[in-house]
Amino acid sequence: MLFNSFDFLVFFPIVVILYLGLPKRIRYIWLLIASYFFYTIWYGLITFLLVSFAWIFFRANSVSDAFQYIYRIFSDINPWTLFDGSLYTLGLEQKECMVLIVSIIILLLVDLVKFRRNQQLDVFLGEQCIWFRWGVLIILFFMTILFGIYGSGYNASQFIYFQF
Amino acid sequence: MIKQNLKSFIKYGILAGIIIIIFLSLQKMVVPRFSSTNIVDGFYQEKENDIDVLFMGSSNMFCTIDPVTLYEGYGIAAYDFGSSSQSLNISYLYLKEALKYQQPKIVVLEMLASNSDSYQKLPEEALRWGFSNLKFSPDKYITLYDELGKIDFEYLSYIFPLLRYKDRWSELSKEDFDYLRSDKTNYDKGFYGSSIITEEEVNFDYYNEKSDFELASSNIMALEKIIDLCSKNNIQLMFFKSPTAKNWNCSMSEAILNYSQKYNITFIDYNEYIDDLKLDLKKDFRDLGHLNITGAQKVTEHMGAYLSGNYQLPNRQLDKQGNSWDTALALRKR
Repeated sequence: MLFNSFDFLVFFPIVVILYLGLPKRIRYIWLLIASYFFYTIWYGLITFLLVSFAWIFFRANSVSDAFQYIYRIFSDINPWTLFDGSLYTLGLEQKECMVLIVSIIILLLVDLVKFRRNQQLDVFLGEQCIWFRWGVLIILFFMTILFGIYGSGYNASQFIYFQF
Repeated sequence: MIKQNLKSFIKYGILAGIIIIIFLSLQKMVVPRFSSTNIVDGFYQEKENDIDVLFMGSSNMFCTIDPVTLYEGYGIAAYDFGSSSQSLNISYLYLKEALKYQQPKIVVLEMLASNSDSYQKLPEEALRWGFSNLKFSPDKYITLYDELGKIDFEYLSYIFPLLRYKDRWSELSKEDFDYLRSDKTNYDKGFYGSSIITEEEVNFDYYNEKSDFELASSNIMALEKIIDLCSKNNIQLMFFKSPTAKNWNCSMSEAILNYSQKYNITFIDYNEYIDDLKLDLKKDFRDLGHLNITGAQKVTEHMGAYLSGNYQLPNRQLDKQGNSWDTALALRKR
């Protein structure tokens, strides 16, 4: 958000008024939220939503199907599908979701190493004791062998265009 | 410097060792257990140089000959060493593998595989059944190359079947983990008995149809290698064909008979013995291609009488210290 934009003209008074109206002990939370909006999070969120929305048209068999999906997003309110196992029927079974979660945690840890310690993974591992180093290598090696997407049953282009 | 190099060498050796052990254990768990898994794993558990008669071939062999019945009736120490849909060049590989551990006096080869070209590409299952459980050996890699014709990822996945069956990780059960540590002795000595009775009508119309059949050159090549290997190891070779209501006809039997006569090899075609063996077409077949237990007992009985009457085979029931066939028989009778 730029200082000389219309957005800022609206944004700034709202932030100041609410800041002054809030109790002192939670004012810093409001400042934090406002800062996130002021910097890039707002644009990131908008971009993410727009891309996700565009994917509906990309993946749907026809434009009318796409509109049907969009209609259902707002008309079929069914939050219980988050809990009744329906999510596991969409292509990833429960055990595969577990692998996904573990893999995301590993990715997060690698990112932490990179951005908090400012180190590449190999440098970081090189500084650790042999048991940790080997343990990580062995676990990653076998996770790649077992969960990797390769072999006769897979086609890289299918993966790219997510025909799953 | 040398000390440091040695230290690194030991360190990386241990790492490689750990990876290999985990890899092979995972592979054993993840690769499905085929009918040939128990046969091949069980074969490696046999005491060395203990088998007198080795039966070889496809499922037609191991669904027909019951070594425990052979032992009970005739004291013959035999093992069914084969895999489903096995081609003759894979039978040759199995024979080579068997001779690393055993010195059989007789090898009896079931001939179904001679009805098709040995080097035509077999269906994937047949290759997996044949290769997945054999130990690593140059012979295995060469036969694999003969079958696949190139070295690529697929070839590699036969050497390391974990790469093919990795997706089974989510289906692993307690049995898969237990199998790792379990006793892999095959107390049926390779026999696969089924009590199922087919509901299809079994008849030998197809067998009686004549056709223009000639042995494929690839099969002749594989058979000659088998004959040569047996001859070099002083093993008597014999052929037989199990009773089957499909995929085999009298012209094929005739071609095998002509071929076997050229090398002075006995060939028994059990399709000609249906009445003599009193095979009941309504009760003795599991499906059109295979016998069930009761059918197998009848053919095995005949095979036992033939082997003990025509070959010098020791009666292993007289072994002073007992043997694994005694254990198998005791378990069968329990």
